[in-house]
Amino acid sequence: MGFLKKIFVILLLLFAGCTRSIIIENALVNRDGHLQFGGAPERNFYYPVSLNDSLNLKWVSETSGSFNSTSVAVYDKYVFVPDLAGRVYCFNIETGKTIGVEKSKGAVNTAPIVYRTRLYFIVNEYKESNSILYYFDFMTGEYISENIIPGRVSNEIIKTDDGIFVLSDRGTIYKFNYIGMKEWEVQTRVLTISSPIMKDNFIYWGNSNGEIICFDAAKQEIKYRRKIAGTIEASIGIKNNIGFVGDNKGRLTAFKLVDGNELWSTNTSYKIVNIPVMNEETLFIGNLHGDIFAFDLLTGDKKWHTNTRGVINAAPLLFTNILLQPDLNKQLHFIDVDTGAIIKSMNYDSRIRTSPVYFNNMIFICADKDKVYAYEVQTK
Amino acid sequence: MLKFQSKYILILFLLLTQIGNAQFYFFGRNKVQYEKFDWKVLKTEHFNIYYYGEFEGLAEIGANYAEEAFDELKVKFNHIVVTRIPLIFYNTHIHFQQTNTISGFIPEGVGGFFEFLKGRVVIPYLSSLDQFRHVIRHELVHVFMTSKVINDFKDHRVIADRYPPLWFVEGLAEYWSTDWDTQAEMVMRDAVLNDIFVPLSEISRIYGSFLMYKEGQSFLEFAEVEYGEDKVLQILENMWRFSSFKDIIEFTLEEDLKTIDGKWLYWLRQKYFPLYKDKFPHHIKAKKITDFGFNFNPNVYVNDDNEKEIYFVSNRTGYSSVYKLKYDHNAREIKDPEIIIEGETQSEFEAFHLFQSSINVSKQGMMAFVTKSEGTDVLHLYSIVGEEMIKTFEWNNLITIRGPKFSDDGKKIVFNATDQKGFSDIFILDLDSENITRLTNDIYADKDPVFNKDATAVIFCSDRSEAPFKEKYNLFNLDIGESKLEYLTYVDADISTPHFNPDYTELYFNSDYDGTNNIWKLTEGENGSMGMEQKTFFATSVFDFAFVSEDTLVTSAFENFSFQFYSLPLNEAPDSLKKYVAFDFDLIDKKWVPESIVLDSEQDRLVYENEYTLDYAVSQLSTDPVYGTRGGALFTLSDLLGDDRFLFLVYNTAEVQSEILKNFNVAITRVNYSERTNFGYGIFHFAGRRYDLRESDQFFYERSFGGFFSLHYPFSSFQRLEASVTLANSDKEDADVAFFNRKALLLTNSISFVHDNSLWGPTGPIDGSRFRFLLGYTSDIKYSNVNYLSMIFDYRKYLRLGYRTALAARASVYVNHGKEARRYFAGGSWDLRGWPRWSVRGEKLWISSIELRYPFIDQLAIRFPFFGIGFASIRGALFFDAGSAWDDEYEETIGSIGTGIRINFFNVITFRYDVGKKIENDFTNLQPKLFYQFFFGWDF
Repeated sequence: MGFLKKIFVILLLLFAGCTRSIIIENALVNRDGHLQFGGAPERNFYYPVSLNDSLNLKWVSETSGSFNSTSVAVYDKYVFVPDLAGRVYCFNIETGKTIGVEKSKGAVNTAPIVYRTRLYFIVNEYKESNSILYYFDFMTGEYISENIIPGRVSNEIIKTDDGIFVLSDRGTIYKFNYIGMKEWEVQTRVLTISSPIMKDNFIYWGNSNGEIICFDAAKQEIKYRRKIAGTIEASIGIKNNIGFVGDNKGRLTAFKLVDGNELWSTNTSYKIVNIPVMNEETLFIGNLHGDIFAFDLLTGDKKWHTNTRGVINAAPLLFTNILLQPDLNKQLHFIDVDTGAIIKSMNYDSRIRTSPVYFNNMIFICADKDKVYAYEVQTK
Repeated sequence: MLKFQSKYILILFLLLTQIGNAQFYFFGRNKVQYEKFDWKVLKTEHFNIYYYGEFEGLAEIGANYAEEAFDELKVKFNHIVVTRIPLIFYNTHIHFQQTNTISGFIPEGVGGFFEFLKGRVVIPYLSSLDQFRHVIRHELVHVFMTSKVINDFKDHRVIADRYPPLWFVEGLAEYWSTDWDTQAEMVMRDAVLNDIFVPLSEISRIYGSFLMYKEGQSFLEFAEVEYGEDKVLQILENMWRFSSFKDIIEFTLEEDLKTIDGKWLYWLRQKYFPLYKDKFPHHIKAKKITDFGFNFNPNVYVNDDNEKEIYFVSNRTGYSSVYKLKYDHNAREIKDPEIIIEGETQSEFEAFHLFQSSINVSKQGMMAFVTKSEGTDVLHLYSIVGEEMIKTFEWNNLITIRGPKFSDDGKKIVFNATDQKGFSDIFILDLDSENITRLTNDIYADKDPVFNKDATAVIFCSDRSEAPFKEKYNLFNLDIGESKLEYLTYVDADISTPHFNPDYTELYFNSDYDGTNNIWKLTEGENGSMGMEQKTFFATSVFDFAFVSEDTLVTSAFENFSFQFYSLPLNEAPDSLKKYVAFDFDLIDKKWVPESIVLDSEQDRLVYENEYTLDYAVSQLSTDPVYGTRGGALFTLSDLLGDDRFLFLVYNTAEVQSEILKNFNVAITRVNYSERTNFGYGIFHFAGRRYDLRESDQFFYERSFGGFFSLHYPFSSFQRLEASVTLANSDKEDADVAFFNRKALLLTNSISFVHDNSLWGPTGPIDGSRFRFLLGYTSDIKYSNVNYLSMIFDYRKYLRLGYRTALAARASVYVNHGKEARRYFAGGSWDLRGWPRWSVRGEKLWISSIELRYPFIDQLAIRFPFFGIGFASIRGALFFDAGSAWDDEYEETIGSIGTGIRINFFNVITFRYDVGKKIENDFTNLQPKLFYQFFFGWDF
């Protein structure tokens, strides 16, 4: 009896220790969500609502590994979280309960995208020189397809109704359709750690040569590539017909989307790796020195500057009153949009790693030690 | 198997309780704590800064450098270290060498270190703020890199079983802490121009060398230029992805290593090959007059026979010593110099500062030289004519002394020295009155002073240069009478080692103005402005020089990764190369003052109190069908400065459940290194089956418990006194032999004198001597069952026959005499070779050995189709051993004769293989066949 009891306990532990695949049998199609990094191909981080500066913690869940400077994806009642241990977790949005996990050997550096009932994510393979784009149907719990991408992919995926665009670190842009076929690829042959952004069928990114590239997705050709800065690791931000990008020397440049010509530039002195965010009048940008600046969108004139003493490497959320800025120095700052004053800083046990995501009056953010935090917020 | 495990835990514990440092082994040099430091703590935003004494001012400047570096490195690494970093400052290298944060000895060349276990950064102040800033930044790169890599492994749930190779670790620390400097340029020029360069694919060949550090720095610069600015950080960020660093490099740079190596070499050749257009190797323009060792500080003396002699410091034998070389420019063969004063074998000359200016000779035949002697540097006077030591000067408030220079009349010596604050200033010693006068007293680094002709002024180098060439070492003239300080030079370059020509009409010096150190002359330009004229045009550096005559110099120069002397005709450079640089003194701006950290409150300035943290812990649990389940653990705690340590050992040797309590083995020890006299004490309880070497290889059960106290007093680095007392209750039981049971309350006292100034080669000592004399007495103070006297006399002498060849001799006598005296044992690869290990046993034992140690194979490389193996420094030995062991009656003399080879692996272990014949029956016959013996261990 004792022996059987031991076996039962071992089996129970094994069973409990095993993670189950993501299967959401009753998933509904075409529901709302935050379906890719920045919510849309144009990467929108601005929400024209006023945020109350108190966040109510709704739940905390755990993953296996930590996170890159990316974000979670949200679909209907589910939160999809990529981690650096090669997993994509699915949590219930209300309870934080783990619905399932997809495991692979490698790291998921970028936010997954959700299209209908399918999840698309890229794994940087462990001990291999490739990355793999996986197509996973969470209604059936089955992998539909996969595509091998040479080299590392640390740039965010673009999802459109027409297909998926992936920019590898080697500077090759790929288009895949939703059934698993690669439609085309175009090489630029320059190191690229700048997540692409898309507007009106044109894709924009920077590269280590300091060039901005405007790629015509319809014609599958580069419309222009123009050197306007030093090495670029940050993503381009777009507002109206103007692009904004920071470089490794801390220079922020505004350029015309139509031809890449510079409109203005200004210096923040330290390396910029995250995407600028904008409201109608002001651009907000942080750098690795912990500086956060607000510039006039049209002239580049500085409106204010503050320093958090930390490292700013993840995109903030912008509300009408508050800039919600994650800081690697284990803090989440609430910054007054008008004055730059740090109204409040929430301290965490570990480094805040991802960009916060706002959806249905909830905010999701991930930190080291594998923590996923979900907060309820009040807006007006 | 388990028996061995338990035994090895015990051995490990016993070794650890021997207070860690070398002095607590059978031989070994001493790491002497000459000072008792009154530690204080500055708490800044990211650092706890530990300092002592009068160093507060510089500690605050260092704190500011550290915070500045932190701000820069978090940007470079895209990472932030979220725990406070302990930063420990010492005001000089001499004090730094006394640190207890690591137990090993710190060589002269080490400028700081990052200690992984507790994340401590330990840095000496080396009399230069610029260097201080550089070392702080260098070590903080290590801190950030380690934190980043370990966090990346955690983030990816990858086992942290790898770390970047040393060339990358040190290369990155240099690359991200300083600009490409003169030293790096010199090393890489030499490597590329003289074909010493080693590609990445073979970089293990130069593991740990300075060349490897600089190649690492050069490679990262190349990678950034050739492959992109982000690649260096990407290499680190890809660490999780592959086990092999080669794979990481190839993945990140997207090319195979052979291609990368090829591009790097091409990049370097493009950079350095054009230098030969207008620069020369030393051996082309000058005549080499030494060919061995590292040779520095040439000084010329003309003796009574009008012969010229060069006095200098060199490490030709492995020890740094003062040498004399007869100078003859026309001699065809390079002559061997003669040792005048051998260093590093006695406490008065504990260390010559080989790479620093430390010796000078007067016209009158007096030599002044600096050595480390106990806790400070001292200045010695030696009569060349009388061949005798005249006097030694020592000043308690001066810790380091450098650059002694006689006045023309030989009555004064000017030098620079570092005081307790860390200030490096200029001093004059009047040899008649023996008084010293301090000429400067500020935070700026003043060095390399020389007198003018009539000793009314001192010319010296200083980093007090003001903007725009801030912190550059320029030449200054200090009028002693008027205390007036003036610039002599003002250039955007570092100047060092000024020397007047023999008649004091011209001033020459070294400067790195053209990229590497060459000799320049202070001169007046055509328009009357002051400037400097380049006199030598070498591709690699001149370190120092001396005038042999008005138109000939002896230089100490760097070429082929060696520092040799060259006889150099002056004024032979072609006119086309001549360069003149005018000084624009009008550029000089206001005085620079280093910034200090500003503390928010005095609460951030504390007196240090011991902060104990765990150093390491090991545990083991084993199960086997014979002995059952057994377990043990060993862990140690120490304070942040390593002065106070606790060791805990717990293990159990019970074979059945009912014996668990009875067989608990526990030992707790405290050792303290904070002062010169180190002490340790502890309590123990050991119980279990023991193997008896004494009689018939029997096992018996022994339970002993008690306590001990030990004291160690080092007289110097080379000699110490040890004393210990142990009180232990010892009960022995043997289930099979009832009469063997015995109880005892043992009191053991011992006192030892230990000497060790040996110099080690790859597999053991090759020079110097080692000696231990021990007297001890053990008695049972309760039952009188045990009562014996102990004596050990062990002397080992190593006679150098050549640079790498030595004759080693050993004479040892071991005596235990009395009731239940313990037996000594011998036999095996460590003493009586050929005889079975530990087979020669007795209460009395003598051993004598003579061994010729010689180089056998320097490099042995075996290449297989897919990989290769290399062995270095394989050494040979011819040996003769003799000895005997007995209890009451002397039995027979035995011995062995043979030959063997030894191979050292990674400086951790040496394997030995011997072949020979035993000498048996009182030396009357040789063993008929050969014996073959393989084991590990260093040479005796």
